[in-house]
Amino acid sequence: MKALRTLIRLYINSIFRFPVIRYSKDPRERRNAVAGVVAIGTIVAVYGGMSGWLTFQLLSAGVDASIPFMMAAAMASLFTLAMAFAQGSATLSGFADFDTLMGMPIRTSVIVFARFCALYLAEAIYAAAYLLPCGAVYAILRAPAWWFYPAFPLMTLLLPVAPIVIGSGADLLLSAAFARSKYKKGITSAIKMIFLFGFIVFSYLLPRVTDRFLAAPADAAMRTAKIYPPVMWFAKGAAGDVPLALLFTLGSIAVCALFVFVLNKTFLPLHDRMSAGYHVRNYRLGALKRSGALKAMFTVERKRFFNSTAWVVNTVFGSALIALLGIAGAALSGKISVFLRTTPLADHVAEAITGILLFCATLSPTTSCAISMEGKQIWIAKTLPVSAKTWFAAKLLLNLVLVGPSLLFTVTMLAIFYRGFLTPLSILGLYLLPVAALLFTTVLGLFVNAKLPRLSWKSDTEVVKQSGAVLVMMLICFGLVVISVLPMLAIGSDWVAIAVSAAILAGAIGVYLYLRNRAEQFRRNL
Amino acid sequence: MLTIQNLVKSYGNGPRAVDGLSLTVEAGDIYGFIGHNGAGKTTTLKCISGILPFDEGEIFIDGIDIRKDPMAAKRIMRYIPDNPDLYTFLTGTGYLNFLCDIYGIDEATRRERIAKYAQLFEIESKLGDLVGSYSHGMCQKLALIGALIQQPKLLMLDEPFVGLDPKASHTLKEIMRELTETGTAIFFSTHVLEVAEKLCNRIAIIKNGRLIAAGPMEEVRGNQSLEELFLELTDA
Repeated sequence: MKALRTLIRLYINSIFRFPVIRYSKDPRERRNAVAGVVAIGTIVAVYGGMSGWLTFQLLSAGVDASIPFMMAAAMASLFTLAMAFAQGSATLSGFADFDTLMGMPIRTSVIVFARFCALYLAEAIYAAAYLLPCGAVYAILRAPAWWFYPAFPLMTLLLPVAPIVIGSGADLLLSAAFARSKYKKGITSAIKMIFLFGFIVFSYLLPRVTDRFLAAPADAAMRTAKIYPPVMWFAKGAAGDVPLALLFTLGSIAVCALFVFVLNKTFLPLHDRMSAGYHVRNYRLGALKRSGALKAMFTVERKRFFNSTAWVVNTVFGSALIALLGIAGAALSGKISVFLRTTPLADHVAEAITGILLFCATLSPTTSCAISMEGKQIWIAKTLPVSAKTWFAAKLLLNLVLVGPSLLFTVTMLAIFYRGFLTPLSILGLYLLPVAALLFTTVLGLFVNAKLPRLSWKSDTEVVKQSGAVLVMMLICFGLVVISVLPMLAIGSDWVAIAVSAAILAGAIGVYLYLRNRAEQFRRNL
Repeated sequence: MLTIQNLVKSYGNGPRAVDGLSLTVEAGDIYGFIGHNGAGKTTTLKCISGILPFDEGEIFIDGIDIRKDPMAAKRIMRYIPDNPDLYTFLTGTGYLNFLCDIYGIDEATRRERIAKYAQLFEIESKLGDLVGSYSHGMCQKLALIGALIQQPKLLMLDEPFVGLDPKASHTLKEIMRELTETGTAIFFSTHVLEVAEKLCNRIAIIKNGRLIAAGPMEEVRGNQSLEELFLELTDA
């Protein structure tokens, strides 16, 4: 138990970096760690606020108590499942402390369970953010029986367990299956992207499910139960069905125990298989192509990016979503146009497209962790005779190359197929605003990462998902979408998009010049 | 080739890791840099290579001030850390080709040099594998090849023999001697005093960030062995 406690404490410190905040003598490192914790807190508050508000609306409308629980549980489960699938194996088997821990007199089961707890803690905080406000609003409005107060937090803590088991288990199997393939990262990233697209499409359908909840709650509950029964057990149990509450609680504990048991038995062979890399037999040195410094740096950046499944899944999604939007928007333009003409939305097509494109284009810039991803290899970039400007340019270029083409393609497609709803000026705004926002978030991401670098990490997930720069940029990008679209809706003139674009572009140029002029200083201080 | 004048480096508000260090490495020197753990050897090497900023003093590489023109200085020197973390997502060839791109080495020359050094270090059959699958010793060999294909005027190595097998150690020593014959200066840190004694023509001993002895090996050592001298100076 002592070893388990020690390991869990170690992983909690790795996620939240409390020792860095407390003991680091480097003010930049401490600031970075504090920013990470503050950003996690802000995201949790935003999720909690949204969930609480939705629960209040539904319960005030007089719906059955299980409905908001079911919605919050479904969202939390899907989110956890997606994250565990995207990054589960990196935490369970990818931590760089494997050799150190396995060489210690600690039972494998303790290491396995501690790693499972690390994964659980990283995800459970967001699930709790969805569910606890929901329960609090329910308790205030409906005054449930006494046992709800201890049972609901316990059930909330157990809700992420099964999705983590399913998601990380699938990720482990996927990683093991393609471990010896030359293209293992590409294949696993592609499969995860397809899964995440399914997740987003399903999330998109949820508002329609909500409508059904309000119209026919029993029918909607059955539909949800067919997809993922534990959500219904949780919701009904929380709303007063004791047998279902017990079924959910005991079922979650059993699933966790079974997973840890199986993983414990297969941990060493699984890790052995996953660490066996791709080998070439009878290798002979072939022709070597020559390229310039920027292209060489960009190639390294591109390969580093596609080598990190966590980085790809976390960032390339916006770009893929934009491309999908362009194709789907063009293919379904006839039906959508007919629908739009019957609604007041017809007058706000430009704002709607701009808002969606802005959100997707700025979802998660690769630059917000591009410096941190150098990790301990940073000495190479610091000793090469390449200017920091070129080094930064390669990182900026990666995000622009990933998002830019799909953005321009989609804007062009939508401008052609929805031209009946758009003026020439609004089409200009449609191009300018997302492109300006893309440029701004690209340079700002690198600036934030240069200010809040995290070069010491055991797993790339720590950087891609939990580092201060990424979390801070997530909030900034969300804020940018809101402050860009709101004036367009409030004022209603096509010139607003042009003016906002000009302001964002000026910001992008300002940040870029600042970054460029201080590039050497930033790199030297890393 | 390398001139360090009154180098001072502290980490944050801590004590000076390097305190007023001055030394000169001439072209053709194999200059050994020895000291106990935490004496300031790696910090000094990192300051010279431009990895770490320093508080006071000046560093010149072939007359180029590392602070004023770091790009020009980096073009003619190469540093290999004691535990080289290389790009694990590239193949061995990919990593070496990347370095050749950065140093502007033409196709024929890069192919010839890579083949030559890969054969010497016996890793030519592994160059197609990802660096992530390499052992520590193989990473060390690849990092060394990456430095050697550039043919730098100043080569700085931090504990270069750690992790190398006996044959690779012997090969490296031979290559070091060959390089100095062409005018390359080599400045390296080591804890293996026997190697330093046999290989180096000059030696510097650092203790608590301060240089306590420096100069030609015979003059510094006198009638004692290097080990006896080192223990005498560092225990004092």
